[in-house]
Amino acid sequence: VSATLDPRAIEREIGMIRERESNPYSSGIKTNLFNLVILAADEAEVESAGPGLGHMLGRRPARIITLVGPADHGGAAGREQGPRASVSGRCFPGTHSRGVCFEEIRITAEASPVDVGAWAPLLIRDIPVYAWLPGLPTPARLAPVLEAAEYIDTLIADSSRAATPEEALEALRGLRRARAAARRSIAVSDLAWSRTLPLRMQAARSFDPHDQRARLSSIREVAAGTLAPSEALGLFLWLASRLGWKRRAGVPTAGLPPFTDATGEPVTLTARAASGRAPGEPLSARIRFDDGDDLLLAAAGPTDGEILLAEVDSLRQDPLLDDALAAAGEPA
Amino acid sequence: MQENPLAAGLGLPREPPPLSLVIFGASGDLTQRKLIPALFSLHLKGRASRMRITGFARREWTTESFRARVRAMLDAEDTPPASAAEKDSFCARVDFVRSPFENPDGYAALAADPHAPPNRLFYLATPPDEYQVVVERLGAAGLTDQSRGFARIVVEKPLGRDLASSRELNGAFARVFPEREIYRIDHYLGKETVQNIMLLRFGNEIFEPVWNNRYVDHVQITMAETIGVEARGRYYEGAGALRDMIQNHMLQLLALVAMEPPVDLAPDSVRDEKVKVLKSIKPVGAAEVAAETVRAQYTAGTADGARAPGYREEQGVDPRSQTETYAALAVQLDSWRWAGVPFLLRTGKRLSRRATEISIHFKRPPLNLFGRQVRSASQPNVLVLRMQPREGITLAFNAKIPGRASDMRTVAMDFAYGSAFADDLPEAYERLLLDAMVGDSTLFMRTDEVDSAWRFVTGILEGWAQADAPPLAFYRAGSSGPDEAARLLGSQDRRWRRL
Repeated sequence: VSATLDPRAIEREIGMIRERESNPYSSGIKTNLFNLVILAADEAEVESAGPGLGHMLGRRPARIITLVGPADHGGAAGREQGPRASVSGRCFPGTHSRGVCFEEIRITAEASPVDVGAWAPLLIRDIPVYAWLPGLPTPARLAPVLEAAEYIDTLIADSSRAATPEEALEALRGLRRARAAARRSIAVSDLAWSRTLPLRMQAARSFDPHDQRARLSSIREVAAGTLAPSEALGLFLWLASRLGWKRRAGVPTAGLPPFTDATGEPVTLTARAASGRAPGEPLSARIRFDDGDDLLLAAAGPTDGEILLAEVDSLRQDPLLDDALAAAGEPA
Repeated sequence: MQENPLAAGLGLPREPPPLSLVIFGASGDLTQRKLIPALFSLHLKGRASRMRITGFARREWTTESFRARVRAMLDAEDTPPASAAEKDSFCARVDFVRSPFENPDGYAALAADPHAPPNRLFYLATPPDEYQVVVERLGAAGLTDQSRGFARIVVEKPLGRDLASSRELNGAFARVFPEREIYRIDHYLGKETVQNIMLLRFGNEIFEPVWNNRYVDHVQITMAETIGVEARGRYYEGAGALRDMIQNHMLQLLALVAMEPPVDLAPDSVRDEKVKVLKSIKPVGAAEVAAETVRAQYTAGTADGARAPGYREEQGVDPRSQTETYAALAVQLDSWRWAGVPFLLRTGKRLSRRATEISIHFKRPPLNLFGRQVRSASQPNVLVLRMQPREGITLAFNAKIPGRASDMRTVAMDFAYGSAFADDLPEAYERLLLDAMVGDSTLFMRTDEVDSAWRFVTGILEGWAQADAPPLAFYRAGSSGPDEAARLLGSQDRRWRRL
C-alpha cells in the first residue's frame, strides 16, 4: 500500500491494514511493544537487515520504520523528488493463534537523508524506540542518530562491519562518543559485542574454579581465531576492563596501543584483517598464558536475529560494554 | 579468595552440578507426560549435560527396554522437536533399576554404582503411600549421606491427607533429609504467570499503594475446570476439591497475592512472607463451615460441548459418594493489611469454562458524585490477573459515554501475553526441575508452609465431618457451580465473576 509522506494518511493506511489482519477470534487488540527505526543507506543494507527482522517477526509486535537514503547530502544529483513512503503489515499467528504483527513503514529518499521530522511523527508514543544502523557506525552514519536522539532510547549498531582492526577500534570509539554526545541519554548496543557473549561466558566459567583464578594475572595474549576485528577487540577490551589492564604509550599493534596487566607485563591482541569465519562456523578465540599454555574458546554465536530479539527486550545500557568502550580510550 | 572478576555482570545461567537423578515411579504417567519431556528440553538447552537419569520401578524392564520407552516418549507430539541424534544421546544417559520400592536390594544397586556422580536428586513420582518406605530405604542404604555431594529429594502432592498425616510424612522426610534438601513441588508455582504475580506487585509502583484493605473490597481466586475426574475417580474419591486444589495451589496463589514484600528474593525470604500469610488465615472450624464454606458435587449435564455424566456415575466413584468436586470458601486474613477483606476462593470440576484467575475488586469511590444524576452508575474497578486461558491482565474502570451528560460505563484495559510475547513458555516442570538441580528452593514449599495450609484445611474437613454440617450441594455439569456459593459473598454488592 502506498501513501504520501503525510502522517495522517500513513496512520489511516495502517489502521486499514490492522483492521484487515485482525483475527476475528481475538479481542481485536493489537499490542505494539516497541518502534524500530532502521537507518539504511541503500537497498543492500535493507536486505542485510532482513534476516534479523525475520527472526523477530511473529515473536514481538512492533512498528518498523525503515529509512532508506544516503547518509549525507551528497546523494544522486538532480533528483529533487521528496521522500516517498509505503506501508505494509505482516502478521504471523503467535501463541494461541493470536496475531503478532509488524506494522511496516518504509520511507525512501534519494537526494538527502530522511529528515527526522519526516519519521518522528510516525513513532508510536510511550513505547521504546530502537534505532538500528545496519552499516558501519561511522561519524557520518551516527550523525542523524545524534540529531534524533530525543526520539531514540537505544542505538543498535554493528561494528563488525569494520574490515580492519583500526577501523573497528574507530567504530567502537565512535559509539562511545555518540553515547556521550547525545543530547538525551541513549543506550548503545553493538551486535558484534553481543555476538561474543558466549565466548565471554565460556572464559568466565573457565576461571570459576578457585585454582584457575590465579591464572587471570598470567594472560599475555588474546588471539582472534575466527572473530572479526571488532569482535576480537570487544573480547580483548572486556578482559582489559575486568582485569584492570592499562593502556600505555607506544606503537599500536592491531590498531591498539600497548596494554599492560596489573603487574606491568604486556598483554597483546592478535587480530586479523577480516573475519575468517565461514557461515555457520563457530566463534573461536585463544587466550595465551605466560607459560605458553592456551585456553581455547569456541562456541556457536547467536544469529543477528537472536541478538536483536534480546536487545529489544531491554532498555538498559550494558555496563560491561560501557567499560569496554572506556578501555578503548581515545587516540593520544 | 576474590570473586571471579570475569563473571560479574554476565548473567551466567545456572549450571547444575554433575548429578544423578533417580526417578522413583519411572513407569508412571507423571514420568512419561511431564518429567521426561522436561528433562529432554533441559538436555536440548545444554542445561543437563552432566546428569545421569535412573528410572526406578518394579516393572520387569531392563535399561534397554526403558531406553526404548523413553525414546518413544521423545517421539511424542508434545515433546520438543529434535534430531534422532539428540534423542539417542539423551537416551544414552538413561538407565533403569528394577525393584519393588520396599526391597533394599534396589537401593543397594543405586549405592553400588561406581559411576554415579557425587550429587543425587531423588524424584518421588510414586503413589503417595510409597513415599515413606522409599525415603526410609534411601536412608538405610546410605544414599542420603550429604558428605560426598548433596542428596536431595523432590516430592509431589498430596503431602498427606490432613494435618496429622502431613506431619507424619514430613517427619519421615526430616529423619533422613535436612529441610534444605526437601523440595516439595507444587507445579503451579512453576508457571510463568504465577511467578508474574510477585513481579506485577513489587515491580510496579502503581499497584502496591492500593493493595490493602483501605482500597480493596474483596479478592476472588478461581480455578475452574471443564473436565471431570477422568480416570482419576478412585484417587479423587479420597481427595476432593479441598485437598486436591485448595490446600496447595489455591492457598499458594492466596499467599502470593496477599504477602508482604520480601526483603530480597532469597528462597527463605520469599517463603517467610508466604508463611506469614498462611498463618494469618482465620481458622474455619465446625462453627464456621456453614457460613464460610460451600461444598458441592456435579450432576449430569453438558460440559465442553458434550454430554457429561454426574460425578457418581464416573468410573471408580462410589454411587453414594459425598466427595466434593466443588469447594468455595470465604477466607479472612488476620493481618494489618487485609483485616476485613474477604478472599473468596472457588474451585470445581465440570464447570462452564476453564479459568484460573485472581481478581482484585476495589471499593467504590467514597462519594458517588455522578450517581445522583446519571442513569448508569459506576461499577467498582476490578484488576484481573489471568493465569489461564489467555494469560494476561485486565483492568476494568469507568469512562464517560460520549455525548451523554455524565453517563458512564465500564471499559477495560486489556493486556494479553500472547499478543505481546509470542514465546513458547517453558513447561512448569522444566523450570522446577532445573531449580531443584541447582538448589533454588524459592518455588518449592517449606514444611511450615505445608503445615499451615493443612492446619487451615483440616479445620474445614473436621467441620464438614460433623453431623450438623451443611449437606453436600449439587450443581449441573456445565454450570457455574452451586447457587449456595452466593451466600459466601457477604454483600449484595458483590457477585462471583462470571465464568
